[in-house]
Amino acid sequence: MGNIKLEIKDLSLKLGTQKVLKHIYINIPEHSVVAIVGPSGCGKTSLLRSINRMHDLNPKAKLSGKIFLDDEDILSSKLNVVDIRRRIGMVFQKPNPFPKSIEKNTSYALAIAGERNKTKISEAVERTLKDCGLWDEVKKDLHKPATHLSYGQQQRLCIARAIIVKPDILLMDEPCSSLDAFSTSKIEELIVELKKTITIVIVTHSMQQAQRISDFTAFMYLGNLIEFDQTWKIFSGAKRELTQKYVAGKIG
Amino acid sequence: MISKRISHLFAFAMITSCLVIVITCWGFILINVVYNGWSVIGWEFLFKNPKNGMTEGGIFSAIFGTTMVTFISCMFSAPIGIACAVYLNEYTKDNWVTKLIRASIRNLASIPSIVFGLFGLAVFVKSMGFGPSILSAGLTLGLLTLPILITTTEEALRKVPSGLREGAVALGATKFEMIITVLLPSSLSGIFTGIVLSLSRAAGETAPILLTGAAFYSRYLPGSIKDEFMALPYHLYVLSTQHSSIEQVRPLAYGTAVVLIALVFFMNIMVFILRSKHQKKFYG
Repeated sequence: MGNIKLEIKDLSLKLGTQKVLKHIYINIPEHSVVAIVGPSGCGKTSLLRSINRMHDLNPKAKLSGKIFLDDEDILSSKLNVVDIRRRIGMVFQKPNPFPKSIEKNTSYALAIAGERNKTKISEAVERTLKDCGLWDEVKKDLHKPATHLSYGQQQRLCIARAIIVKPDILLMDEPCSSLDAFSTSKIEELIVELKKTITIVIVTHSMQQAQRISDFTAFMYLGNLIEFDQTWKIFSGAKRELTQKYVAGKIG
Repeated sequence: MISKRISHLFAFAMITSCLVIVITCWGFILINVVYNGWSVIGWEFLFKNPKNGMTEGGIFSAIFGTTMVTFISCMFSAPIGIACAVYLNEYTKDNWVTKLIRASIRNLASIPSIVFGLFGLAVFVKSMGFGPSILSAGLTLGLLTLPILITTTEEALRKVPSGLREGAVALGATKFEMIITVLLPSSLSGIFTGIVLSLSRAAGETAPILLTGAAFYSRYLPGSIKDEFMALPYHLYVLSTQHSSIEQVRPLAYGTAVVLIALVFFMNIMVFILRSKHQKKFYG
């Protein structure tokens, strides 16, 4: 393992009276792709959303424990949540481009951060769209609404939108679940490319996808982290019986 | 089996006849008004002020007054109404205080407009010293239309998918930035609808402006928003019931009605176009 980029320590989450996450410990190395797998309702997405404090939006959610990003506890109330979200980007299950132009969508985070220099913005937009392999497809339509793109392009745009501010970590919540096979493979290629500079945590329903792109896999079940290990170990020789059963498709 | 078919047919007939009744009433009013008022409508009627005790001339001052007062009511109610809806929908928790606020807004909508007129008279005309004027009437109409605006805006905000809010927040936007840059632009067409509904309502109201600044007859256009003004609905009322020679001015009254209907219709069309343009742009 390389340097630990993100350290989740004794993380628990309560939504009202329901315990959604129970004492989770994970160490995520820098420049790796970590897949979180597990049956529906096991807390995968809740874990992901804890990492960039999306639960702050829900008054009923109560987080305890610690999450260290480079030795800094991001759950601490001393830190500005807006700064944290700038360092930890997120891509959602359904593509959610804003009803704005492709350029405005891509540069949204820059604009929010107060960047006014137009040449800087358009350079960043071009570079980011190129990084996401979207530039050639949209370079003529930068001022057209992003909502007119295909679903797969919209999702890649959402990735571009998230990485334009060069976050340390990119969280992805089943980014391919509403896409066709072709768009999925494009996004998977992109993930493997992005991992050179960004640490990626991805929630996925697809065992194949986890095996194709991830270095580490976390298996969750009923709010517990059952096993966290290198992906090939999880899929070919898991230590826990529950994990073996799950990856063999015996529980779902 | 047969009874089921009969009841089905019966229900269908009932529903259709309701539709027919509504459309007939609407059509009858429209045709009657346009038929009787068409003859007076012309360049002079639209762009000249009334003269000779309102028996001749046009209704420009009334058109102007109604437009001004509607505009002011919108300038007043749109920012407050939208801000209020955003606050209710985005910032408040769902508790009894919020429920109370929502209930009072609904109640506000059911208060008779003459009461708004009295309120405007007491507060804007007298206490705040605006006198009977465009300003007082505009503010009163603004209050009257606030509930419509708040309810429709809230409806529009609720329709914005949560994915868009989360998307903005996840990119490092504060809640306020999210509201300004994503939420409001996304719900623009719904907000437009609210503004138009309230504009149409404000343009047609008579009772509130009667008490707060509408003039029976004035030969000149108001020089400032502190002056009294003529308004289409009040002018219509005067021509049809208060005038000394009612029979003589009857066509003018019909003409005024045509103009009032056309004005409101025009506003509706404008917003419809704006709205569909906006939707087409983003959602094809």
